[in-house]
Amino acid sequence: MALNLKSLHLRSLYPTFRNYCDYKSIYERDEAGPQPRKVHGTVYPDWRRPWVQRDGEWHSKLSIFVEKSPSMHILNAMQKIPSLTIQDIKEWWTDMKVVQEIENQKYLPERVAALGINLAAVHFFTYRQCAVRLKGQQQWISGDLTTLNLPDSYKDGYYVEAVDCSKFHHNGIRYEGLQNLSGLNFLKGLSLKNNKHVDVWCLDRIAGNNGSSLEYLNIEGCNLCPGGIYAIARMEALKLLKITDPGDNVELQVALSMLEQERPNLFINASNDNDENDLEEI
Amino acid sequence: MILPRVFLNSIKRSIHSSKHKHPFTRTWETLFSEAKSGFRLKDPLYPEHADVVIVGGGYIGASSAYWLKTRAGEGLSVVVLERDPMYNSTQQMLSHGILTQHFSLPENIYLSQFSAEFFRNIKENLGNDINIEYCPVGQLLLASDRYTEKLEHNVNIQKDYGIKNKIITVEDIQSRYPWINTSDIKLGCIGTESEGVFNPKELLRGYIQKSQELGANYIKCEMVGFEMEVQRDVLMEGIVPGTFQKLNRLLYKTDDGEVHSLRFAACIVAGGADSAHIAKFAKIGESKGLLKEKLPIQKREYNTFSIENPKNEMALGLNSPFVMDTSGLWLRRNGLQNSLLCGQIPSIKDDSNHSASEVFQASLLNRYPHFKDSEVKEVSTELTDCNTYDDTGIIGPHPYHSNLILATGFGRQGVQHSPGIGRAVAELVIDCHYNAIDLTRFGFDRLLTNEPLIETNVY
Repeated sequence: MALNLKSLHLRSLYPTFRNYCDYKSIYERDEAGPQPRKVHGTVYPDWRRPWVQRDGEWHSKLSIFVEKSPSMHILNAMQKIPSLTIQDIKEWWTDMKVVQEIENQKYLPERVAALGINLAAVHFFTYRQCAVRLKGQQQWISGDLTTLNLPDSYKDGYYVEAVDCSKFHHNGIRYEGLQNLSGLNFLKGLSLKNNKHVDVWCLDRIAGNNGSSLEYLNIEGCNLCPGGIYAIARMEALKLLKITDPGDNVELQVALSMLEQERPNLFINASNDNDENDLEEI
Repeated sequence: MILPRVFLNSIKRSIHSSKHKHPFTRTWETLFSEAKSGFRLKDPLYPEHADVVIVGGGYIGASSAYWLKTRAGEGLSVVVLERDPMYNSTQQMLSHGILTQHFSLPENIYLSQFSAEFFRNIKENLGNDINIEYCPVGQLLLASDRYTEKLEHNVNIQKDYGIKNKIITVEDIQSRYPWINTSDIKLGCIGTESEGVFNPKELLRGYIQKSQELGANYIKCEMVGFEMEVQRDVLMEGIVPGTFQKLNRLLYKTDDGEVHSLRFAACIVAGGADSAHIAKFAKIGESKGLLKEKLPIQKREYNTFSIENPKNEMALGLNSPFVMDTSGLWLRRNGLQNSLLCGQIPSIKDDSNHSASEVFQASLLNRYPHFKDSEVKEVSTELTDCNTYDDTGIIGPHPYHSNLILATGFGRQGVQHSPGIGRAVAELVIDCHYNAIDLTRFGFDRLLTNEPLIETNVY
């Protein structure tokens, strides 16, 4: 059965449930009997037998219902209940929103299996208000749910050449979202303008995934530090780099000048204002 | 009851000698002993009891304190005993501030992945003022003929865990980094993500600051012994019934020479190179049976050198990775300055006739022949705790003393894996089993069953 997104639209009228659950029910586990203990896939023989398993010891049959000890996380939360304030609840809610956003930006192997790596990247970025340009085409693919008509199964010929993430929704792309750029072998341009969550770890990931093909990188508005310059130095095919002016940061200025010295082919463009439209620069 | 007079006299004597007080007096004293002293704490600086005592306030100790406090908050009272709060003996940790994903054991791979995630979110975890200055230079591992197969095998294992380490050929190394002499190398491996150098002192400062903020108590003192309580009714497999001695109290000596005792529920030994000494206080290695095996942790010192102003045509670019050789020689850039840091990790056994510095000079000139004319200056001497049994850390409760948790012997990986190890220790104390990363194979039991756990990617 080919994997495609269309099958989600057709649902059976009656519910069909098949529980392909990893862990079996407690009754099945009890019937299977005592299993050898496994640590990271290899068998780990316990050299001491617990007292309840010695001869003559008895344990109740109801112990098969006792699976886990009480969760200490719940206990920790209960300890904080007397001193709970509205501010704590607000902070918890914002934390949950961040977790939700990170989860929504994760790299999904199912998406890649259904669409192929390039088309999956197109889907990912365009559904989050970014623009993507394919190899051999001039116009950018952008839009929202109603205007986009992307194929929902694998199609040949989609090679992503440039991605413009400057309008990434919900405060910008994160470290987990950048993993969707892995495997894009023809990626030449990437604009991460005004994505404030891009830091040295994100640049490290970009250098590792796309360093050999990336030619244009725009990181205006991201927090750049000397470590980020090391990551940029690892991108061997880079030709144009656009950053915000380092200003008073001496270390960053030193690092940038060293980078300029070493890489004569690399042009570093430091700008102060951010009202340029850089879609045409790529 | 008719009893002989001698017997009655001895009973009377024993009753009086045990300070028999009237029950009413005893109840009054128990309830109002605090009121007598005016509700002042006995010794506010030196507590009399704690839930968890961590002996050693280094990376693993401070990380354990942080994780215990994060998970339990006010529920567990944590006391950390550190002999040297200024960390004078480990001033420059230049060779320890490395983050690498090159490991072959699944536990180590999970630990380094978790470390990368922890360092990435360090501002949320440890506070906004911690900046570990991570520089993602990557690590280049050079393998000579003997280790080529092992390297390929390890890279294949790492692919299963999602780590993208690229194997590069000798020609590629030669073209990218011409300052390395590749005549005796057959294969290289470079990391693409989450590998680099950072500033470990900031990490330690972050752990200590955050755990103190959450309520951990750091005391400057030196541990002088354990107090054991004989428990005749405890039966444990592997010991003679009736001989069990439980670790009850810990004795520590403060600056003014006074010895205090601290009653604890769980004690974590994170003393680094002195852990064997601490274990001796608990009679580990001194007795028969389960206490027969000693804790095989020894101190290892090695030097870090700096090459100032390397006068050569082929300068090390900004993209030069942290180069590690199978002989233990490592080299990296010293930040943005025009100098390099290098050193050599000595082998566990000193079985060669040459001194360490001779071996170092020879390997340095062999690998990087351009540094013939540059001056090599010794910068610092760094000490690590080395597990002489199999060079992997020991973590977990001792088989005899189940309230003594060992967490030492990690050597150079201690700093890098400290977030994961601290979390594992906290899980052992709070949940009594590992939740996230299963480190059972790192336990002390492998010394008793004689199954060494060797990490093949560590030099």
